[in-house]
Amino acid sequence: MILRALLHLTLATCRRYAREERVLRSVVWPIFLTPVTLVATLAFLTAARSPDPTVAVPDVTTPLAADLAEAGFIPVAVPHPRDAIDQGQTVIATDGEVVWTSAHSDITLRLESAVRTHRGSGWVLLFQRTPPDEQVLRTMGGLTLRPLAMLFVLYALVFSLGAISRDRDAEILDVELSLPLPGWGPVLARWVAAVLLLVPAHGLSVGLMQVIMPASDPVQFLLRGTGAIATAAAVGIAIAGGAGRRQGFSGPFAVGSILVAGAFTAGPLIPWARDVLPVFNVFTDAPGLSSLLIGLASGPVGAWLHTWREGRVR
Amino acid sequence: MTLPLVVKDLRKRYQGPDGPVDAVAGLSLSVARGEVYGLLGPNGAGKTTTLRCLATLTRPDSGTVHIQGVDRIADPLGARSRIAYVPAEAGLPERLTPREVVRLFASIQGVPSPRERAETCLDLLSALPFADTPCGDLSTGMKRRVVLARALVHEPPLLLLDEPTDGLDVPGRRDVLAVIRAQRDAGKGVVLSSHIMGEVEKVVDRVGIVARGQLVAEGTVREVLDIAGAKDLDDAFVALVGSGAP
Amino acid sequence: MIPRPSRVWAITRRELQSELKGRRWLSVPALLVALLLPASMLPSGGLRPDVTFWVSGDVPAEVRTLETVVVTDHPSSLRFDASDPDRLSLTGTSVPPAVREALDALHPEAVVRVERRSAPSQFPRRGLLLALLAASGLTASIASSIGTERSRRTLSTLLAAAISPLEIVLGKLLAWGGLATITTVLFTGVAVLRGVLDPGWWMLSVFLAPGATIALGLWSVRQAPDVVSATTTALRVMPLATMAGGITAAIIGETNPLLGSMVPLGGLICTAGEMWTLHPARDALVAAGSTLLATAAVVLHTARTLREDPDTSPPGIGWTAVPLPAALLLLSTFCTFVAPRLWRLAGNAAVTEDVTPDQGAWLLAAICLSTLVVVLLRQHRAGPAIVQPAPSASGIVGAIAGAGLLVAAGPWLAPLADGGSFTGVLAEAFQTGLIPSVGVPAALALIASEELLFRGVLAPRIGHGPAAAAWAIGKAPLDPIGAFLCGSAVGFVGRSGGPVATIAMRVTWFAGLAALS
Repeated sequence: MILRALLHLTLATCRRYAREERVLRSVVWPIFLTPVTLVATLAFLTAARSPDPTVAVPDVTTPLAADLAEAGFIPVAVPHPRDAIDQGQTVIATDGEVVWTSAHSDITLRLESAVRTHRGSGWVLLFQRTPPDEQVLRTMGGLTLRPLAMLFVLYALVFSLGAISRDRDAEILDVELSLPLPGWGPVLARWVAAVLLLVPAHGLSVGLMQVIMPASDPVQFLLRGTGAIATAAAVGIAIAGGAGRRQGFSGPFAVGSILVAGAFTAGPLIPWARDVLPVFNVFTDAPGLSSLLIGLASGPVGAWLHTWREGRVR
Repeated sequence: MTLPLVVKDLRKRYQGPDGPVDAVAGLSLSVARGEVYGLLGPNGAGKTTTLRCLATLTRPDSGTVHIQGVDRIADPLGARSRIAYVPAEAGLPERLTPREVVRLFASIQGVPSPRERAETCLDLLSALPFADTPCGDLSTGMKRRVVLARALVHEPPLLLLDEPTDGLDVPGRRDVLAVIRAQRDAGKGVVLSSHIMGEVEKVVDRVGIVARGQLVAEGTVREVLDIAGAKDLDDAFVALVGSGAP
Repeated sequence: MIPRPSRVWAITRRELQSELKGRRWLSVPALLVALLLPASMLPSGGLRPDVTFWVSGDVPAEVRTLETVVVTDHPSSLRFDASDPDRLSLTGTSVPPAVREALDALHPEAVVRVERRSAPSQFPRRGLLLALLAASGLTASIASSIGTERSRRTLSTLLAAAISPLEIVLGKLLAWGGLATITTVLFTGVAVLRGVLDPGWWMLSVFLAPGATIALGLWSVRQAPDVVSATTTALRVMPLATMAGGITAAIIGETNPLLGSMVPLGGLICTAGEMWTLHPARDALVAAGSTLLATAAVVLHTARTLREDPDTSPPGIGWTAVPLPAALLLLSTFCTFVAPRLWRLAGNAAVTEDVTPDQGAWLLAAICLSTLVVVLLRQHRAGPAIVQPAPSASGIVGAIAGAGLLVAAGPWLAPLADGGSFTGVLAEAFQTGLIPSVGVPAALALIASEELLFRGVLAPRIGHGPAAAAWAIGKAPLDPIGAFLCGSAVGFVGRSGGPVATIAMRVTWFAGLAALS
C-alpha cells in the first residue's frame, strides 16, 4: 500500500511540474538551443563564403589586375589603395608588393597568394580550408554535448532543491509528511519527478545534436547524463534537509553548486572518480553504465539523508 | 473506548539565538470522541509546535502521544493514518485542481473507491463548482473548503486544525465552524488552535489556554471563565496569560 | 519619480539579510570565491591558445628548425609541397609569422608584405572570465530575489507599501549587482597585483559587466511565480544573452571594433577580454556607455512590469498554439533535412553522411509526440475546445478512397508530371509534402505523430486553419509549394474526418506509391 501511495504522490508531482509553463519552457529550450546555435553557425559560414570582394589596385590595366581577376578578385582602380581601406571603401588592397587588409584572414591570404603568384615568389600559399575529418567533428559534437549535460545537471539541482524549498514554505510538504507514508516518501517523489522530466528532455537534446553533429558513442553520453541528472537531483534533496523554513534559497543552492562544480572540475583529474562516479564523468569519455546505476541509487540515499537531517533539526 | 488523543508531559526544546527555548514545556491533555478541544494562546505560546508534534512533523524531546491508542513515537505511520492535519497555510499545490488533490489524498490514505469518496467530500464542503479550477486560482475561502475536504476524505478519528478560520470572511468562518461541529457530532475528536477567542467560544467543548509552552488553564469554557473570574474568553485569556496562574 | 536613496538602501539591506542568513550565509560568498580565485590566481597563458604549429610534407630545413614548429607525418595545419622545382606550395589556412619570415629569407626576390590596417581580434584574455563569473555565481540569488518573494507574497506587500517599483528593483540590483561588482573588483585587483593581468581600460568593462548581467537577470525573472521557475529561467536566459551578445560583438568587431563595442553587454564582454587592441580606451568607454544605457532601459522595464501578476495571464495554450508546433516542426525539418545541404555549402559534407533520413524522421516523430504531450498536459488551463463533429466513417472512407484513386490514376497522370508543367509541379509537391522519403516504419511513425498533433490535438483547440498553417510552415523548408498545397488538402480532410481520416489518407497514398514502385 505504501508503494502504491508513493506512486500516486510521484505521479501527482510529475503532473505539477509538467504544468509549470516556465519550467517546461526552460527544459525544452536546451533541446533547441544547441541545434539552433549550430544551424546559425552553419548559416553564417555559408553566408561568409561570399563572392570574392573587390580589391583596390592603382591601375586596372596592369598585369597585376589581370592576374587578380583571374584569381577571382574584382580589381578596382584607386589612386591610393591603402587609403581606400582606411576610408572603408574596400577591405583589401595591394600595389603588387604590399597587401593592405582589414579583412579576415581567409580573403587576405588568398589575395596574398595571388600577389605572390603574380610576383613569381618562391613560395605561395594555396588557401584551402580542409573540412574537419569525422574524428574532429565527433570530438566537436562531444564538446557540445558536455555543457548541455552540465546545464541539465544544474536544472536537476534547481528542481529538487527549489521544489522542496518552495513546498516547505507553502506547507505543502508538511501536509504530505503528515500522511501515512515514510518520511522519505514525499522527498523521493520529488526526486523521481525531477528525473522523469529532465532525462527525456536531455535525451531529446542529445538526439537533435546527433542529427547535426554526431558525437562518438551518444549512448554513453546519455548514460552519463542520466546518472549525473539523477545524482544532482539527489544532492539537491539532501541539501534541502535541515534547511528549515524561510531559509534563503541561494545559500543551499550555492552549496549544491559548489559540490557539483567541484565534481565537474575534479572528475577529469581523478582516475577512479571519472571512470565510475556520476557528475565527475560528465567531461570525460568514461563508460556511463556505472554512473547511471549509481545515479539511480542516489535518489533513495538523498531522500534518506534529507530525512535524517530533518530529524536532527526538527 | 480508546480516546482519540492522549498527551502526557509533552516537551520540545529549540535552540534559539539567545539560548535554548522551551517551545512546549510539559503539556498534557486529552481529547474524547465527539469533542472539540480548543488550544488557545498568544503568538509564540507553543500551539503550532504542539500540533506539529501531534501531527508527527516534529519529534518531541520527551513525553507520550497516543492517537487512538497508537503510540506516535513508536508507530508514526499508524498515527498518521488516524489524523488529518490542516496547517495554517493551505498547503495546496497551485497547479493541481481540488479534485486531483482530494483524489490523491484519498488514494494515498487507502480509501476504497477514492474517486467517489473525493466527490462526496467535495460536495460536502460545497467545493464541486470549482473542483476543476487550479488551486492557485482559488480564493482563500475556496482553498479552505478544499483543505477541509482533503482532511475528511479518509474519515480520521482526530482532526488537527491550525488556525482554521484565519483569513476567512464572515460566511467563510461560519461554514468552517459548521463543518467542525458536524465532525464533532459524527464522533470525531478535533483539536483546533486559534487566537480568535470569540469565535472559538462558539464551537469548542473544552479549552486549554497555553502560555510559554504550558497549559495555564483547562476545562469547559465556563470553568475557565470561573478560574479567571472573567466574563468572556478574551478577558480570561488576558487574566490568565498575564498572571501565569494555572 | 526619482528613486529615494534611503528606500533603495533599505531594500538592499533587506535583500542581503534575508538571503544571507542562517547557517549557510557563508555559502554564497564561498561560491564566489571558489569561482573567482582560480581565475585571478592562475598564471597567465593558461587560457591562451597553444602557439605550437604543426606542419608536414616537404618542410624546408629552415622551417624545421623553428622553435614553434613541429613536423609531423600526419595531416597538419600546413602542408608543404616541393614537387614544383620553381615554387614551394603551402596548403592550409594560415602561415605563422615565424614561418613566413623563414620562407621570405629563403626567397628574398619577391617578398610580399602584408600590412593589417585594423588590428585583428585576439583571443579573449582573462578579464572576460572575471567579468562573467561573479554574476553566474549569483544566478540563484537573483532568481530567489523575485521568485521567492512572489511565492511568499512578500512582493505584493512591498508593492503596496510607500515604495516605488523602481526603488525595489534598484535595491535588489544594488544588493546583488553590488556584491558581484565588489567581488569582481577584489579579484581583479588580485590578478593585477599578482601580475596575471596588466592594468588597463579593460578593467572598466570588467567592473561594469556584473551589474549589467544581473540587471538582465532580474529582468528575466520579473514574472516568475516561484523560485524554481525563476532559477530555470535565469539559467537559460542569462548565458544565452551574454553569449549571443558576446558573439555578435565579436563578429562585428572583427571588421569594426567601434561598432562591436556598441553592442550592449556584448561589447563590454569583448572589451573586458581585451579582444580589440587598437583603441582600448575608446572601445571600453563606448562599450560602457552603450551597456549603461541598455541597463537603464532594462531596469526601467523591470520596474514597470513588476506589478503584473503572472497568475492573471489568460489560460489557454496561448503562444504554444501556432508558433511552437510550427517552430518545432520547422526546426526539426531544418535540422534533419536541410542542414546537410548547408554543411555541403559550408565546405563539408561528411558531417551528416551517417545520419539517415530515417533517423531524422524518427526524431521528428518523437518531437511531435512530445509536443502533443505538452499540449495535452496544459489542457486544464485551456479554454473550451472548438466543437467539431466527431470523425465520421464516411469521411474516413472518402479520404482513403480519394487517395487510392489518385494513386491508381498515377500511371495515366505520369506523362503529365514532367518537370516543367504545372501538373508536374503539383504532383511532385504532393509527393514531397505528404510522403516522407524514408523507410516504412519511420514514415508511418512520422505520419501518425504529425496527424495526432496537428489534427488530433491542435486543430480542435485553435481551428483547422491555424493548425494547417502551422503544419505548412513546418514543412516549408522542404518545399514551400508542397507544404502549402498539402497543408490545405490535409486540413480540409481533417475538418471532416479528423486525424483518423488524414492518417488513413496519407498512409493510403504512401502504401499505394510504394506498391506501384
